[in-house]
Amino acid sequence: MSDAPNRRLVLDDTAVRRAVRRLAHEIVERAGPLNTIALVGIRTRGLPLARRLAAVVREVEGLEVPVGALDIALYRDDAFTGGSKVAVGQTHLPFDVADKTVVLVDDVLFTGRTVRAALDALMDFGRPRRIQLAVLVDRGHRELPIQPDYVGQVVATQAGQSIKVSLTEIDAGPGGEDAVHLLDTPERANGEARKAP
Amino acid sequence: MNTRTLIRGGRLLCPTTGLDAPGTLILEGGRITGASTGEVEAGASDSVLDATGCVVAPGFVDLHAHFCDPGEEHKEDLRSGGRAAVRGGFTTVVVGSQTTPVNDTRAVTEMIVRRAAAFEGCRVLPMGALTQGREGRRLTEMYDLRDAGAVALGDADVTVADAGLLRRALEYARAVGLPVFEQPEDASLAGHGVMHEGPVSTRLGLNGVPAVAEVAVVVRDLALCAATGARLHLGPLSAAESVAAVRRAKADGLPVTCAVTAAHLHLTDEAVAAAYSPQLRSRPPFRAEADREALLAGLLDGTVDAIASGHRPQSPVEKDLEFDLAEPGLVGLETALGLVLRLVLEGRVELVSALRALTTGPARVLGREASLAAGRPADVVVFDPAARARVAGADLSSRSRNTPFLGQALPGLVRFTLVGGEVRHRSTENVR
Amino acid sequence: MTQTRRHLLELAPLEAREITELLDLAESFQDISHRRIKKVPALRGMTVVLLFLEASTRTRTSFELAAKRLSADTLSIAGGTSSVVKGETLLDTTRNLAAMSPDIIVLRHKHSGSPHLLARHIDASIVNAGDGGHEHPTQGLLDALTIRQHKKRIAGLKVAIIGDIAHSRVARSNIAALGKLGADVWVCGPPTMVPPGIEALGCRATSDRDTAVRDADVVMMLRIQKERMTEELFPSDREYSQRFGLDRDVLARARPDALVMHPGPINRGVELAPDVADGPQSIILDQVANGIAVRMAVLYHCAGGGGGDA
Repeated sequence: MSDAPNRRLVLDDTAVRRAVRRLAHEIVERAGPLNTIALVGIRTRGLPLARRLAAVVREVEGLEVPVGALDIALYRDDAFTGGSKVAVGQTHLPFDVADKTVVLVDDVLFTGRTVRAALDALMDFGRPRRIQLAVLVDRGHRELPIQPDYVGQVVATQAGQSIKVSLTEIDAGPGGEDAVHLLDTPERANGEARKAP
Repeated sequence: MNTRTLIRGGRLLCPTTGLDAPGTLILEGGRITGASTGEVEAGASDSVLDATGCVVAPGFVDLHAHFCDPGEEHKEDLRSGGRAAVRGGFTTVVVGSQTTPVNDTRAVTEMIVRRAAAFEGCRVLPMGALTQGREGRRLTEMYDLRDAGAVALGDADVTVADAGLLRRALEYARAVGLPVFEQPEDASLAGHGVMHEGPVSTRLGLNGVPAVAEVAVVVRDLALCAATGARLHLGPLSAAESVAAVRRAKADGLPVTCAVTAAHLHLTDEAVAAAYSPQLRSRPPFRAEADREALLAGLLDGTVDAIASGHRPQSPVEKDLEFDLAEPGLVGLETALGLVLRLVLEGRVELVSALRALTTGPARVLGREASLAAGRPADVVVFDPAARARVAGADLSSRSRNTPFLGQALPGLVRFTLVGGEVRHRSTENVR
Repeated sequence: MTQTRRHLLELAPLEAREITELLDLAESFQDISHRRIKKVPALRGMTVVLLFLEASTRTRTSFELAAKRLSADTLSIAGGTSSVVKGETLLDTTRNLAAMSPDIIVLRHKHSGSPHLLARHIDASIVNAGDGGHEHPTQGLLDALTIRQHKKRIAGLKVAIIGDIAHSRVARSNIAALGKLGADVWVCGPPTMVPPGIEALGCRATSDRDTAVRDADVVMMLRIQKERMTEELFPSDREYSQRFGLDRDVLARARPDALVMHPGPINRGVELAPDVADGPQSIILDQVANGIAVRMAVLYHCAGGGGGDA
């Protein structure tokens, strides 16, 4: 796969797989007793990442960690200001969040606004004991005081650039491989919140 | 002083006399004194009206208009209505009896005649009510109304429900010598209807007025006309079957005439569907396309004697409402010619036939004559059929703006309207 | 304001795709009503006026709950308390409301086309909550959603709508929604209650109840609305019930898994026998529950959210 001049490969298929494994190990080590942990993926690309993390945990520890899906469309601060419309997806949390350590999972951490919305959404389902944040890529430029607990890869970016994460579960790209690209085109206004195609 | 007016350079067109030629019309002392196809030298004291590119025709006669005076002068009065008429090319307008108080006595008729004469508009001919208060119970003093100036008798937009009473009214009116006007609509069949009953009213969820509400009355009235021999004028008509019934009656030799409005020749119930616009609420309602076609066919074969304006002013108080709460009616004096010319442009009707329904036909309903013949009163309209003008609320002379044609460009521009030889309207617009 | 407002005035002009999108959106709102905190902040800071000039506790409370679950501020104005009854026109009343800058006005009114009147004159999104005998779009949507959830499809289903079709806005909205989604819609009632040209809306019409019910997948009974009837349309409740009502014997002619629906409130014993209304095939209460999700979806859509163009 040859990259266009305004598009640089940051993580290839192998690197993404390694990053996910490392994140899973860190979560197992630091998130507390495994039977109190739940993984919640932020739609759209946080969800397959959460499922992959759970798979690694199952493989390594032989334990099933529950996985939920969180749709934050109704909690966004830019739902009616952006140019394009946000699709509303299903939120599905097949467990009681009370007294859980909920690890929110997303692909890219940028301004922090998505995570802010996800925290509000999650809180409406109950009172978790603790909420942590795992992201595949931290690209900086935060607009809110939010920091990740687990990071797959820190990528130095400029404001006018954007990060494009492709996961095989969602993005049927050429070659069908996972990849993270740095693009020289800006994100749409107001952060990384745009997830849905 | 013997001043002459010359109308030069136009096409003289008179459906009554059959005149259709370029030439000069000569007016003198309030009357038409001649028409010349040759050159007419203008004398020093002559006033000359340039009719280049224009049609010069007898002034239009409107059988169905309402000037709301007395009673609802905020919508229209005799002055504004008369101005709207001459701006639209009408020199004679029959004003309905639905005034407040109802024009059912000599006093009201006289007042209308006297007041209208003070304004420099069209000739205003009152319709006297057929029954007192238009309540359909007791006859009016028809001889008195006639002597005061009424030219027709009718309860305007109310149908006489009692057939027995209508029979007596027809018999009596026959002796008085005036035609009886009836706008046919059976109230019980119309029910709470607010538009034509059909697929469109079903779609919109509005109560419909079935065509039979009109046809049933037309058929009854024609039977009474045959029985009494009185002159009967029906209209404005809206339904195909009504026109068919009148056609048969005319073939049978009954003294019946009928009219349609210019708007009914264009609009159907589909127009209402666009946006429930109360401007499209009308009585009778705009009906189906087949009905519209039948009205046109009636116009072409002479069943329909007259095209009326159906002028019915309403203020925003009556119109800025839910469709079924809004009052019916639209102003029509200033759009009638344009709508008729649009039909001419569409090739639906010949210009001379169209003009006949605006002049000869309605005049004869009243037992009068509209023509360019020498000796006739100089009621003349000069219009440019090629000019187009946009219907703009601010430009209307009528005090009301309730027309669905606002914003549309209609053909035809009235350059001059003369009533009794006096120029009552002169267009300063220069639209082509 | 120059932006084009989104309204929901009627279903008739919508395309199947748009109806499906609204149903999908409604489905994603459904679980909110089952959460501990039945509220999302989507319409926070927005004002929704519920202008109900015709009494309807059911639809008004459903809209009110929908708006509140989206965190909108609601202002409820009912016919009895409004100045409309004091002689003020609908436009004047609404202009006064509009001066308070509501984002959405939900209108229920007995005059067909009144939401269109507001949409022409008022700068707010207008949602039709039932206008005269014209449409009741959210009812049509919630009925479609309820059928879809039970039957997993709408295309190809035979749906019989029985009652006073002529005066029914519910019938018109259902014909529009279900017809576009591919159902075989039949309407049935005494000839006096089946208006001319109803087939043009996308259905078949009959005055024979058995023809309508035979092999139907859904039987939707309409309320006999005496308050909306201005003329003599049928001789007696007794004869109506016998010829056009739904009881167990009549229902037996439909498919065994046929659903029974009713927009409510029911005239028990007139159009619907009590044992059918409360029977296993009745999904009347599901209709009510779906009403909130559908109205959330409609409010969210009109506020500018969801798919589609503004």
